[in-house]
This record gives sequence, C-alpha cells and structure tokens, in this order.
Amino acid sequence: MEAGAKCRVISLLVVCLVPAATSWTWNSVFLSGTKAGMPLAESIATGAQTGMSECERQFTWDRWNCPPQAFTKLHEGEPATRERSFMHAITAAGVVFTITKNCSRGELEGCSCSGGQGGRRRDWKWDGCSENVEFGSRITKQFLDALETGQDAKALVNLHNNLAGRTAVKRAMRRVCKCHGMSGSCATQTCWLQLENFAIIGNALKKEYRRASRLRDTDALEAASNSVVQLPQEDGEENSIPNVDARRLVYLDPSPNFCLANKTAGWLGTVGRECSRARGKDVAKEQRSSCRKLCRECGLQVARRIVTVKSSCNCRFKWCCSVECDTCVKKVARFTCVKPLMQRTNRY
Amino acid sequence: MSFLSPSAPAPSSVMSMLGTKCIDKNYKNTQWYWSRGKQPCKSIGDFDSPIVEEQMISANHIIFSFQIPIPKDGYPLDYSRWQQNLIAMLHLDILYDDEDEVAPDAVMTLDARLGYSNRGDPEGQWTEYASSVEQRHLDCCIEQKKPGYMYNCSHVPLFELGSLHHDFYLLNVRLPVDMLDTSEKTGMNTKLGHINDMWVAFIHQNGGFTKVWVSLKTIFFPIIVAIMVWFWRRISQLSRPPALLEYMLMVLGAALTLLNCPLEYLTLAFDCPWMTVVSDIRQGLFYASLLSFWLIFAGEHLMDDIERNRIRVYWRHLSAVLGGCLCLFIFDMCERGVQLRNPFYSIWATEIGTNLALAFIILAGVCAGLYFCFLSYMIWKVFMNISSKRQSLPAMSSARRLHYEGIIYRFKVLMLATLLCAAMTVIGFILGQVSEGQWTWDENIKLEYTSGFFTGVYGMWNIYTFALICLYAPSHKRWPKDQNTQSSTGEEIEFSRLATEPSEMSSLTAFTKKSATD
Repeated sequence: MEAGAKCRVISLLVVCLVPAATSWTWNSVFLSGTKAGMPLAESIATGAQTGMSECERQFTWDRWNCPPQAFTKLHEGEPATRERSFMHAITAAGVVFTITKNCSRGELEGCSCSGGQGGRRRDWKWDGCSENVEFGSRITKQFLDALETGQDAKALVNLHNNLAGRTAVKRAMRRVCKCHGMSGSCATQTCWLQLENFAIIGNALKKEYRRASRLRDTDALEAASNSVVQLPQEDGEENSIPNVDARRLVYLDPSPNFCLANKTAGWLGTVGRECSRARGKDVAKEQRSSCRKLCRECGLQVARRIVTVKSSCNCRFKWCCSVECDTCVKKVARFTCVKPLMQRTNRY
Repeated sequence: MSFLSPSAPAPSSVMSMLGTKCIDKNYKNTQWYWSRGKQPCKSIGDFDSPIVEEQMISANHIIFSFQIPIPKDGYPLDYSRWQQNLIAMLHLDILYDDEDEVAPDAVMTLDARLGYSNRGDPEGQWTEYASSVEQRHLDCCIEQKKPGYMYNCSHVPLFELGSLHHDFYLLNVRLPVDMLDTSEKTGMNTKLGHINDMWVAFIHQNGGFTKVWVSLKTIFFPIIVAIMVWFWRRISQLSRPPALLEYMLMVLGAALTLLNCPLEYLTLAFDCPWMTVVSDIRQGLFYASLLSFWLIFAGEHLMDDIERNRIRVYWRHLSAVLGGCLCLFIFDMCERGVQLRNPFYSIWATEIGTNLALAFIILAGVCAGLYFCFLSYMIWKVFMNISSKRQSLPAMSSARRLHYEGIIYRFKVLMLATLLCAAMTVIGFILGQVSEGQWTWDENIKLEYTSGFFTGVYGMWNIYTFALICLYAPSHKRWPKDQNTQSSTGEEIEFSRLATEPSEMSSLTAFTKKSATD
C-alpha cells in the first residue's frame, strides 16, 4: 500500500473514531491502548489496509478490481451491492487478523485477557486467558459496528457482513491439540487456534462473495425490527439477521455493469485493464478466463505487447536474508483490454 | 464430585505467542534478548525490512524472542506457582517460494535458551534456566503451491517444565546456519524454506484447576488412610493370618493413598521439576495395583476347590501387569526423566529415540492385551462355575449353599460396580475427546467438561476403593453357633477345606447370609 492510501485510511479512521468514542467500553480500551506500545488505532488502520490489499489481490482478474479509493466511500450512501458486502467483510477480517497477530506479539498494550465474554475480566491465575482472536473479534465488532449508525436495512446488511468477516477469520484458524496426560498420553489434551495466512481468509470470503444472497428489502426491514427488539440482550456473536448463516455475505442492490464506465461513481470501466492468458494447473479459473471476461465480453479487444522483464532467477537461498540470484532478462507477453479498432476509427 | 466441577476451570490453557525478531550483529550466547521493558532488543517487523540488507543480517544474527506471560489489559501478568507446569510447542510460518521449497525431510536445528526472572528482580536481569541445541523434524505440506501461501507445518514440541516456579520466563530461539564454506556439507537449516514467523504456544495448567484438584486430594487422603487403619485393625483381630485378597486390598489402599497425598503443596514453596515424573509414577502404581486386584479377586472366586491364596499362583497373570507398567515406566523415564536435566529434550526428535519409544509403547500394549485376555478368561471361568454351582445349589446343605451364594453375590456386586465405574470412565473419556475435538462457536454455552470429567473420575475411583475396603473387611460379629446345627459333621469337614470359613467371612457375606436366613 502506498503512503497516500495509508493516510487516507487513517484519516478515515479518525473520522470514524468520533461516533465510536461514545461507547465507553471502546473508549476504555482505546485509552489503555494509547498508554504504551503499539496503539490499537494503528493496528486497526493496518488491519483495514491488509483487508484492502487482499481485496485487490482477490479481484485482480475480475471486472471489478476492488480499487482502493472505493474504501473511502465505504460508509457513504452507496448502494449495498455484492461488492460492497465483500469490502465490509474483508475489512472486518483484516482488522480481526491484525489485532489478533499484534496481540500475540505482546506489543499491543490494549490487548485484553477476556475475549468474547462481553469484557468480563478473567482471572488469569484461575483460568487463564481466552484466545487472542476473541479479543480481536470483540474490538473489531465494537469499532466497525459503531460506524453503522443507521437503523435501516442497509446498516443491518453492513453489520451482518462485518460479522461474516469476523467469522471467516475464526473459521480459517487451524485447531491444534497437544496431548500431555500421564506419560504423554491423550488423557489430557489442550487445544488452541493457530492463525492462518490472510490469503486463506481472503479465499474463503471470495467463495462467500460468489454465493452471496440478496435480501429483499422488506425481509431485511422485518429482520431489522426484530433485532431492534432483541438488541438489549444481544451478547457476543449474535446474528443481526435471523435465518442467515453467519458466514454468508448478504446484499440488497444488484451490481452495476462494470464493463461500462460510471463517471459519478468514479469507475472507469475495464478499458486499459490487464488480463492474463497464463495456462497450467496452478492457474486459477478466474485468471484463465480473464481476457474473455474483462475484454471480449465487455466489447473490448485484447492487445498483446511484448515487454522485457528483468527478474532474479536461479536463486540459492539460505533461510533468511542471504539470497544469491542471477538476473535473467525475459520477454513476456502482456495483454490489455483496448477499445475495438472500429470504434477508435469511428471517433476520428 | 460434581459439586466441585462447575466452579473448576479447564485443566489447562494456552498462551500463543508470536516471536519478536531481534537482531544483533554481535550475537553472544550469554546475552539475553527481550522485547518489552527497559532497553528492549533491536527488532525488525519482517525479513523484507530494508535494515536486513543494509546491515547484512544473516540467520545467525536473528533471535526470536518470547517474553512470557504477555501483558493483558495493560497490566503485566506473572506466572503463579499454582499453574504447576509449562509446555512449549513451536510452529513456523513458512511462505511458499518456488525457488526455496521446504525439503520433505527437513530437519531444523534450534539453538534455544530459557531464562527466568522474578518480581522484585532488577529489570532486565534474566537467569539461565536451561539451554540446548536441539534438532526437530519439520513436517510441512502445502495445498496450493502459490507465492504468498503458507505451508501447513505441524507443531513441534520445544520444551516441558515440570514446575513453574518463577514469575517471568524468557525464551530465545535461533535457527543458526553455518557461515563457513563447509555449509554445503552440513547444510544446517538450509532447507527450511522462506521462514516468515515463529510462533510458540505455551500451555500451562490452570491455577483454579490445581486448587480444586489439590483440595479434592486433601479431602480424600485422610479418609482413605482412616479406612485403611480401620480395615487393618479388623484383620489383626482375627485368629487366622490375613488372606491374599485382604493383602491386595491393603496394597490398593496404599497405592491410592500415595496418589491422594497432596504433594503439590510442596511446589508452592520449592522448585520441584520432578513433580510430573512423580505423579506419573503415582498414577502408574495405582493402575497397577487396581489391575492386579481385579485379577486376584477373580482368581479367588473361581470356586474350583483349589487352594490358591498365594501370590505365586498368579505370577503369570501379574507379570503381564508388571511388564506393561515397567515398559511405560522406562518410556517415561526416557522422556520426562531426561527432561529433568534438559527441558528441551524430546525422545521423538531422533529416529532411534522414536523407535525405542514406539517399541516400549507397543510392548506395553501387548502386555495390556495379554492382561485383558487373562482377566476375561478368568471372569468367564468364574461365570461358568457360578452357573454349574447354581444347578447343584438346591442339593447342598444350607450352610454350604449360603457360603456359595455369598461368594456369587460378592463377585457379582464387585463385577457390577467395576463395570459401571469402568464404563463411566470410558464414556467420560470419549465425551471429553469429542467435546475437545469440536470447536464451539458460541462462547456463551461453553461447558467446562474436561475438568468435570477429571474430578468426577478421580472421585469415583476413590469412592470405589473406599467401598471395596469397607465392604470386604472381615465381620467383627461372631458367627452364631446355633445356625450351623442343620449341617452334618461330614459336611463340616468338607466345609473346612474351603478357602474361607463361615466365622471369618466378610461382613458383606455375613450380611447376605443373614438376610438369606431371615
């Protein structure tokens, strides 16, 4: 991520902190976080960035390529499309992931011993501390959910997608157990969760993006009225929309045609986008069909040009830091979507 | 014991920690590297950091530092002696790199040091507890071979401490490489792939669980001692020497007393790294005496009119128990015994060690199999004898009939009680494994099952042993003479050949008889 994007995210966060500070639990966590070590706000900003870059990576070969500037408008009155639901979820996931990781590093001073118990202080000497992901999840919920101030269907959908993002991190964690009973037998065993790579979480959310379900406005509103009644006893990971799985992404509005440019939304269409004709077993389906989807189906042509790329090759690597490589010069074919010749000539 | 279990927390919990990557060009193995407090080490966020290239940092200059426990809620935590033990499991985050794949049989060499510090010590003063250079197999696999993806590596055991005596611990781990040209030959740590991070999961027993457990022991210890004293006084009042079964009951009681003895109190004052070994031995002795008791109990109720009552008769059966226990003991000493000297030691790290450990475990398994064959055969024989005796019971004189009925009743009661206890233990164990194996998503309905299981099973076997000693104590009531008037003298002579005489029957049999005659 470039410095500009980082500044944008942090400024966004600062704007967002004002409504969030009204909740005292958040406030106390935030204050303890600023005492020493890495402040929580920085973790949240890094987390949002992690989510953003993963979103970009996931949508490299899709028509909509998750542009970073889309995140700055995340809480404005944009239509709640499938893409927007993914952005909400991946941001939440990124924040949970980063807080969990920083908490495990022991440098996040606001990190709490109790996780999901609604902030109930646990006695470490009596029953230990909860998993760090519980804390990460709780803070993310407090922070990101506080940004949804509305009581309408859109706010509810956003809340649910935040939940889906948090759930994705927990589900992607690997459960590891250690037997330590008599003579090392499994009479006693202890299990914990090992944080996985963020790419795994991104993949899981991309899968959910593909099978996201559209809510009819009335259904969501009905659900909204229900959940408002239930709000006081809400505790922990409560689903804001009943009858929808916590993993599932939901949206309200259909996506626009991303082939076409939309000046008001700041969308330029797929002209000039790069696609790939890489083949092979390890190449993902989206990448293989990218030239068809991005260019041809949008009425564009694929332009091929040969570029020379310098890259390191024949590396002899020792663990960490000393890599001895040769520099190879390769000629690579690059493909981009361009307007068809007909149209271009017509214009002249 | 269920009254204690709801308040008892899980037996142990985990603090998973991501290592801080300290760098030092002039690494010395006498220096400590910590990440929090005054003068923390110079660290880098990741290995792509420009500092690495600028300062020519190599693997030998990188120290993964783990300062535990992690402060929580802005407050520095410290370990309590109630938390008893500490187990560390190491995990590497290795990114896929097509030019640097992890070798399938990669061995990593760890240079690890463990230090401690206590509250009140000057900050930054760490005392070495243990240090070692260890080798561990790295078992990694990957589903999608794409850059940016991570290998799925198994956790490797790093160290086990039998006592958690100090407040703070500091673990420094290095993955050194040979800097000389000979590195191609040794190839130390060269096939580990693109290491990104190092995690260590620190498992400790929960203080609350220890408190519940120790109080349970403190309650049962005097009760079992008292019942044993009472039992022995009853025996010594008899005119005959104690029977084999009565000796066995005493052995069982003694083994349980040893297990109940709340030695854990010592750990609150002294550093006792031997505690895990001792508790393994105590548990082993109890299991051995319980298994031997069942064998001898079945043997003494065979009712085939062969005089046994001597331990030598059972040598074949008991050798299975002893053999199995000995194998497990040797294995335990090879693993946890050596860990007393070097906490980083693991028998599973080397191939010879793994084979040796497996050999002992398999041998112990064979012994267990043999034992169960012996026991089932004996129980089957007892049941066969019972059914044959049943048929001839109406033809017997009343005293003889009552005697046999008593034996049958006694055997069946114990059989039922034992089966019930064993079944509950097995069911509890399976339920515990299942509940541990599943991840409950709802934090609110988190049932603390495991500690309930442990305290429940522990209490159950205590009560079982208590009941055995209580019920099989000889009756202090004199057998009324007039009840035997019906039996003829010929039968009386025959009767004396039986293992137990009516006047020295257990109180349970006496009770049965009494109710039968009533």
